[in-house]
Amino acid sequence: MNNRAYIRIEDVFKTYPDGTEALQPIRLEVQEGEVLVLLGPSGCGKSTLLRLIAGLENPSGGRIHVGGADITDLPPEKRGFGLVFQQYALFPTMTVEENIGFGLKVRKKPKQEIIRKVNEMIELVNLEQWRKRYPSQLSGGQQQRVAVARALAIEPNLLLMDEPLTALDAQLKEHLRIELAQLFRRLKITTIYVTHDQIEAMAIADRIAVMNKGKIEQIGKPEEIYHHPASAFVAQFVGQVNRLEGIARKRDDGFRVNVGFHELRYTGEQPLTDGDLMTVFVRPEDISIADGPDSFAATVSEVIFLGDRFRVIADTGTQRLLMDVPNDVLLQNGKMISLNISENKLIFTKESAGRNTP
Amino acid sequence: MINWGKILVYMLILVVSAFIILPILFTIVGSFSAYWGTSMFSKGWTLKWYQDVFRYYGDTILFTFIISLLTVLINIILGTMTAYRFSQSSSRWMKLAEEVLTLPLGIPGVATALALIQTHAMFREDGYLILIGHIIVTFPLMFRTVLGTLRTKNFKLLDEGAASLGAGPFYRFFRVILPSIRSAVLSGAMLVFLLSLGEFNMTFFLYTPLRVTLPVGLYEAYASLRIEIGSAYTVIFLIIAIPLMFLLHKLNQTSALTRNGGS
Repeated sequence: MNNRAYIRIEDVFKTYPDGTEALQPIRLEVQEGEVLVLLGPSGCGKSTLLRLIAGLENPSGGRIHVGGADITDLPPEKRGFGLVFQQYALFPTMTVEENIGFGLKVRKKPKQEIIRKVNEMIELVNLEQWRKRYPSQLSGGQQQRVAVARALAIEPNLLLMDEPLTALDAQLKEHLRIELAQLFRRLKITTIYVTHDQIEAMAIADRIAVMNKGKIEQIGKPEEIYHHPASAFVAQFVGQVNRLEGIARKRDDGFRVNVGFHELRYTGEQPLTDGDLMTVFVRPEDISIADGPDSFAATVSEVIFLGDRFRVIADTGTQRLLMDVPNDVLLQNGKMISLNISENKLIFTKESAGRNTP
Repeated sequence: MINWGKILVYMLILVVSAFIILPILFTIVGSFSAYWGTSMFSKGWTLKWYQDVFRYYGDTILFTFIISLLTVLINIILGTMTAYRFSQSSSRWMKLAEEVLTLPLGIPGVATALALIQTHAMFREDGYLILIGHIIVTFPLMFRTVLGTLRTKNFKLLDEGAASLGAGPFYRFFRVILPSIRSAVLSGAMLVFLLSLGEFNMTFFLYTPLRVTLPVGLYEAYASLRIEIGSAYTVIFLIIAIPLMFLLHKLNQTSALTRNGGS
């Protein structure tokens, strides 16, 4: 990070009057045009952080800089950020057009300019035939598109989105997720996006900040977060993962981790000593059916059809493993199979470092 | 087969309705009777009593209208703004204050009137005390009606949305919040108007011989003049009040329909 960062959050924290620490002191920088996703379970402080940036709540301490200016003490109406909520927050007494033009009307823009901008936004979000409708006459997905258009109409230098897709059903969610991702790339608008859905986060983010208990656990590109989680929490929150307990064993060709049913070659970077307690995380897609010198036996105990693949629960006798199997491989419960774990994708954490253990 | 249960229910409704409406019907008919003695039209019918009402009490009707209208206007501003402020807070002290503000509904009008005379005696002469009394007694109706609606939807979210788009607090209140609760404000206003129009029990202690409201005048008419004038006076009151009640009923129906709409 450098000092040309567009948004600089310096030790911002929030403690409520009743003593709840919603947010520990946070340091965060966002580059111009970047899409940063705040990802975490409910109550992790992600929405609080977004509301602090929006000015809807005041921080208990710390400063927020945007575009070189300190905005910590500005009320929300003076910040000029676009804001999209989970519950749309459209004005029920105004039509689609009036909702989208609201921010421009507040700014006393000339009528012609408002009409031009509203038309441009309606086209952008594909709501041409709904422009005269009221919010109550629109579906959830349409309402959220109006909300996005309304936020973009004021040409904000920063777009803040608080779980914008959470209230929508699964199919619509996926559809709108793709639309949003394309919109962000096209407009190159600096965006902070809050969600608890890791799939959504992966699809939309340039970088993801994974939050837990009021702190940022890890911040990085989606692939980094997925393949190199910095903590046990991140490994388990982002994507499905098998958690294996084991003991480090020194062998002739380096360390191995014995997880009971198998010994895995240690590929981590931390120095180990013989007998260290280890936790190993294995993604379901990194376990495959294969016969070889490094394979081990397991029994199929459950097969779940997911459409594009099977999710199989395999039992090694001491450990139940989640794994992915292509949808053309037919397996029956109770069948003995031979499995292989691709060792270069394993995630190791040393137990003695312990503080990240959930 | 004859459904006796159903018939019984209809009979009951009929009897109760008759019980309520009959006295009013008698009053209406009696107001046209030249002499209401043992029988109603023994001396024929007349419109004289209506002329008398306007002669003796014409200015009370105007005064009552002014008081009621002012009460409504002031309570629209006071009631909605207070309710809006309350809807945004969840603090314990505000909960307590909410109860305090509702208190005038539960206190006898006599007590409120006497307290007002004790504290603001200098306002009594020109009738201002009547206005103040009416505002105090009807405030909870407006406040409660609007607060109830403000709590059904997430108006805080609308307010935050409008703020993010650059609208200041006053713009947000008058352009976003107020239009969204229009039907609640209207039905609160109707309730306030009706209550103020018919308020007797407190006004009776606050009026001065020169500043009399319709219900107090009505009492005087019955007490000191003739029952026929009182009846004519009542009919005039009903002509004002009944259309408003229908309007209020209609308003409540439409607002119930729109209440679940929107986001």
